[in-house]
Amino acid sequence: MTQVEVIEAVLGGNDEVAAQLRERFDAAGVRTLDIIGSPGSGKTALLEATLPALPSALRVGVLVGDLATRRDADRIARVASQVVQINTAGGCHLEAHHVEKGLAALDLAALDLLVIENVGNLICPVGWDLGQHAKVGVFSVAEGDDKPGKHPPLVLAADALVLTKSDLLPYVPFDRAFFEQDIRQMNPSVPILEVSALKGDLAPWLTWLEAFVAG
Amino acid sequence: MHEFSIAEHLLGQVRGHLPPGGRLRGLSLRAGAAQAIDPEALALAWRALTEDQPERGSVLALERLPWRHACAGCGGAWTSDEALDACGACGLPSRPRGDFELTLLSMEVETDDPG
Repeated sequence: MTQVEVIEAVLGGNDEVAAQLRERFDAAGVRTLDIIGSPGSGKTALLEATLPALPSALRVGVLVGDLATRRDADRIARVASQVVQINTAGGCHLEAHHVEKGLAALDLAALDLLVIENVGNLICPVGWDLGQHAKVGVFSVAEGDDKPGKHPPLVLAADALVLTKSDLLPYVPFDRAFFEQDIRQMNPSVPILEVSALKGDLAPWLTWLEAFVAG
Repeated sequence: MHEFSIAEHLLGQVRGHLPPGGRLRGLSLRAGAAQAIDPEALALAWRALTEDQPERGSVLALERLPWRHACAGCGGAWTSDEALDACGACGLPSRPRGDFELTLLSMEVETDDPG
């Protein structure tokens, strides 16, 4: 029996593809976001409300990851000129090769912002580099105030956290201070952006997004 | 269950390092706390993936690194399986440190070469 020393990143292959993607995004001047949140947290609704509220000159494309159907892509196609649905056929997250494949159907030269809506999952997508410039975590009021504490990797990895469905705050038991306390213990500086896609209350998120696109 | 995807990446990686004629008998990995890997799920995924492959029966050993903590109040340092933790000495909540490291450390390989 021989012991072979390796010492090599297991996801090195994914990271190489992601680095190539990032170079392509940079060369095209496209800022790229990876949006991660659980199923039903309101990721698609957030995009449906956000895209029409952005300056009209801003050209936005969306890659949507789901296990099955192109329902989310159909919804987003009403508000975005370039949308690609990626079905993972059971996979719980997107990997860089999914994004690479999705880009074949996008015209990067005609975009300023590319949003990757990851498969609905708070755990699995977090550790995968997709070539994005920022990761955005989405929690919803409906899920409860304890979700950040239960999902440290996303809180630590996120460049911004969005709290969706704020219109439900008066009606459900959700301790906003407790929610924020867990986040601040893990990631003291991450912006927490409270929104209601239903009511069109998106101001902090839109401000963050426009600053992000400006680089 | 990202463990199955990790196992798929791992299988390709292992094959790239196997010497000619070598048979994989074991592999050793290290994972940072932020990878949130369930060792049993990864072992199960590895067994399922290699069941009808030459790597069948190889044993996957995973060292899972804990969260690292340092107290901003008294300077105490400790490790924990919990990301949200507090200093045992002064009670202050601690900011967890952990990374997304996932490293293939080594492989146990059987060869026909008696030397």
